[in-house]
Amino acid sequence: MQHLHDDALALLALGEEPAAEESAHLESCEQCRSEISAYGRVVRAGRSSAPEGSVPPPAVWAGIHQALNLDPALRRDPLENARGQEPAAGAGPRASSTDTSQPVSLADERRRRRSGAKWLAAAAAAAVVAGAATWGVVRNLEPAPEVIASVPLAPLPSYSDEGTATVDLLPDGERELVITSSSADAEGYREVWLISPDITSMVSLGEMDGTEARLRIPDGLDLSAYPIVDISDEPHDGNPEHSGNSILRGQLDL
Amino acid sequence: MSSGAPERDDGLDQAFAAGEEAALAEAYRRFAPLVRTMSLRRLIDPGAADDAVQEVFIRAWRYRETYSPERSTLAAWLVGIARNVASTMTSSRIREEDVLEGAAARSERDETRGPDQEGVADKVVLDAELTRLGEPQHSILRLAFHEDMTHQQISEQLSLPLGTVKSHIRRGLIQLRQRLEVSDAAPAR
Repeated sequence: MQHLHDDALALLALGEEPAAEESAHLESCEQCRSEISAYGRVVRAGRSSAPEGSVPPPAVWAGIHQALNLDPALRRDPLENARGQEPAAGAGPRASSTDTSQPVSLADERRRRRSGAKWLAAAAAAAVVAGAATWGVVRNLEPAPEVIASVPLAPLPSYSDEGTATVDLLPDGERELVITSSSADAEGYREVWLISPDITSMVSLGEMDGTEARLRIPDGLDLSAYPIVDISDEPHDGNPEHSGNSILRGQLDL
Repeated sequence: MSSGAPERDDGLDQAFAAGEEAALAEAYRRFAPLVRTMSLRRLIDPGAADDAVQEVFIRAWRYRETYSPERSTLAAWLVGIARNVASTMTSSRIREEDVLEGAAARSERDETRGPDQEGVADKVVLDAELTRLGEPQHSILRLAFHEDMTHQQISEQLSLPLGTVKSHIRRGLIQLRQRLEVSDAAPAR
C-alpha cells in the first residue's frame, strides 16, 4: 500500500484539510493515522495559549536572594512590576522586540548572541545604578547595529587562539569592526589589519588591547578590496609595517 | 501568545550557564510565574507552591554548572527541576498525611489533586525550543502555530516554495517533538 507522504502527515497533524484521496487512505490505514496522532502532543503545545502565570509574593525572591547571597543590587523583586497587573499573560512584560516576522540571516544570529552578552553587562550596570532596570528595557534602549559581515578567525600555525570578526553598521552610518579572541597574549602588542585577497596591501585599524576590540573602519574604505581580517603580534620597534607574525586570520564574505 | 520566553533566543540561557547573577534575576522574572502555576496545579496549596518556586530557583542556581545550553533550553531545565521539586514535596507530604489521617484519606486526596500540569510544562518547553529553531523553520512554525496559517499561506507570506515549507514543517515538528520527549527525562536535580 502506498502510504501518505511524511510531509502530508505533518500537515494533517496541524489540522490542514485532507484531499479526497488522503481521506480515503486514512480511513483504511492504521499506520498513517497513528503517525498523525504521534504529532498530537507537540501540536497541542504549539497551539495552546500561554498558561496564565501567577506571580509569587516578594518573599519568594527575597528568600532566593538571601539563600544564594546574591549581589545587593539585585535585591529588588524582578517581578515587582508584574504584580498588580494580574492576571498577567506569561511572565510579565514581554522582553523582546517584535521584528520576528522576517527570516533572519546567520549574521543576525551571530549578532544576537554577541549583543546578548553586551546588554547583559549593560543590564547589570544599570541595575547597580537604577536598581530596577530589567534586561528587556535596557536592551531596547540600545539601537542594535546591523551586521554587514561576520567570520570566525582561525589561528595560524603555532597559535591556538580562536576569535571572531564582525562588521557592524552603526546607527550613525559608521562601520565598526568588532574583534574577539580567546586570549590577549602577544610578545609585543596585538594589531588588527584588513588585508587584500592577494596580501599585497593592507590597512591597520589599530591596536587590540584585551580580548575584545571595537575599531572604526575608515570611511570610504572598500571592504571587498580588503576582506581579510588579520591580528598580528607586533614588536615595540617603531616600525609601522606588519611584522609578518600573524596570530589569527579570517576572510569576510562580503 | 508566548510563555515566559521571548520569541528569539536572546542569550539568557548562555548567560545563566556562565553564572551571571543578572541572568538568574531575569530567568526568575520570565519563568517564576509559570513555575508557580505548574507547582500550584500539582501541590494545590499556594504556600507550598511558593516554597516550590523558591526551591526551584535556588537549586537551579546552585547546580547551574550541570546545565548545558547546548543540550536544553533554560526553560526546559527549570521545568524539569520544578517537576522534581513538586514530586519530592508531594511524596513527603503524602507520607506525613498518611501518618496523620490514615490511608483512607489518600484516595480522596488523589482525586482532588490538581489536573495534569504537563500542558503548562509542554507549553513552556515548546515556546523556548521554538526560539532556538533556525530560520526559516522558526518563522514557518510560528506562523503555523500562532497564526494558524496553512502551508500555502505560509509559503506566500514568506515567499518560499511550497515544498520547502512542507518539509520544514515536518522537520520542525519532529525536532520539537523530540525536545518535548527529552524534557520528560527530568535532570538529575
